[in-house]
Amino acid sequence: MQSDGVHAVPVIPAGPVGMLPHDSLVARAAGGDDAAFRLLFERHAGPIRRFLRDLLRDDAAADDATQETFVRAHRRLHTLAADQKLLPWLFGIARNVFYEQLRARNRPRPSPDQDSHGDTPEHRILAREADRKLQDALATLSHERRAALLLRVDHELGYEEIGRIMNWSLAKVKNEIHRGRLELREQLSGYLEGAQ
Amino acid sequence: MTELCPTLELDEVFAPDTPDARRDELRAHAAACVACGQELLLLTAERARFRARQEQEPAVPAALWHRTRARLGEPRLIVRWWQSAGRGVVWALGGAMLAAAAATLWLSPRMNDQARPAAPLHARAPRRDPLRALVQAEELNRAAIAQLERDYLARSGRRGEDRLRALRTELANATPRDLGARTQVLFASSEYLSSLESIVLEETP
Repeated sequence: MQSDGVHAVPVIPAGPVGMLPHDSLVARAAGGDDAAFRLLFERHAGPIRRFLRDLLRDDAAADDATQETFVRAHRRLHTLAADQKLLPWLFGIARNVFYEQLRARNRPRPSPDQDSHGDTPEHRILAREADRKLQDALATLSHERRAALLLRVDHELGYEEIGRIMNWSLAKVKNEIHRGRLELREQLSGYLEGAQ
Repeated sequence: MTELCPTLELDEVFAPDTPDARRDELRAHAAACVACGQELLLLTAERARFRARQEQEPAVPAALWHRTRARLGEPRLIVRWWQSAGRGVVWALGGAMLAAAAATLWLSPRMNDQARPAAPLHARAPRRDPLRALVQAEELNRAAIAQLERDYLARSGRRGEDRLRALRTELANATPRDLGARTQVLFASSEYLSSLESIVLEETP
C-alpha cells in the first residue's frame, strides 16, 4: 500500500533483514527497523564516504559528512519515492551536506596520506602514489564538475540520475563530465596512457 | 572523429544499465573509428584507475555506524541561511538591498511631488514593468558579482584574475542581444555567482 509514490511501510516481509530484497529493506528501514537501516548503512556508507572524501579532501570531515548524510536519510527515508533508487538519492543528500560543510569551514584541507592495504611494501608505495596523483588531479576540477565526474566514473550512475542530483539538464551533465574528463587527462597526461 | 561520433556517449560501454545492443553498437563504432578507438582506450584506462582505487579503499570503520546510530533520534537542527552563506554573499546581498532601499527613498518624494490625479482603484495595484524588473535584476546581479570579484581578487591576486577571466569568457558566450538572451544571461550569471561564491569560500584562508 503506497500513497503519492512514497514508500509506505505496510508490506514488509517477515524474516531476517539480511535476506530481504533491497526495496523491502528500504521499506523496513523507513518504518523504523534499526537492523534494516544498519544494513543499508553497511551497503552504501563506503561509496558515500569515498565521494565525500573526494570532494572534501579531508578524512575526518568526510566521516562527519557521511554521518550527517545518513542521519538525514534516516529522517527522510519515508519520502523516498517508490521508483527512486536509494544510492543516487543518498548522493543527492551527500552533495548538499558537502556544500554546507564547505560553507561552514573556511578551506578544504589536503587529505593526509593514508595507509593503503597492499600485498607488499612496493605495491603499497605504487598504489599510494597512483592514488595521490588521481586525488591531486581531481582536486584541480571545480566542485560541481568533480562531483559529476565522480558520480559517473567512480560510482557508475546514469546521466539522468546525475542530472537529478546536480539539478542539471542532460546536455549539461554530459558536457560537464566530458570537460571534467579532458581536464583530468591533462593533469594525468602520460599517466593514464601508461595504465592502459 | 566526426560530428556524428558518439564521443559523449562512449562511456556507456561501461555503464551497468546499458543494453547489450547499445554496447555492441558503441564498440563496433570504436573499432571502425581511429579517434573513438583511442578515446575508448583512454576511458578503459580511466576506469581501471578508479577501479584500482576502489580496491584499495579501507573498510568503513565500525565507529562511524555507532556515531551515526547515536544521532538517529535527535531533533533536526535548523540552520539559518545567513549562517550557512558565505560572508561575501551576505555582504553583497546586504549592499544590494541597501542600494535598493536608498533608491526607493530617493525616488519616493519625487514621485509624490508630481501631482497626478488619483488613479482608479483597480489601477493602483502594484504592477512591475518586466523590462524594468529585468534591468534592475541585472544591476543587482552586477553589483553582487563586482563585490564577490573584489573579495576574491583581494585574496588571490594575479592567479585569481586568470580564473575570473576564464569564468567571464564562459558567461560572455551567451550574447545578450534580445530579451530572451538577457534572461538567459541573468540565469547564467546566477550560476556564475554561485561558482564565484564557492571559489571565494574555497580559497578563503
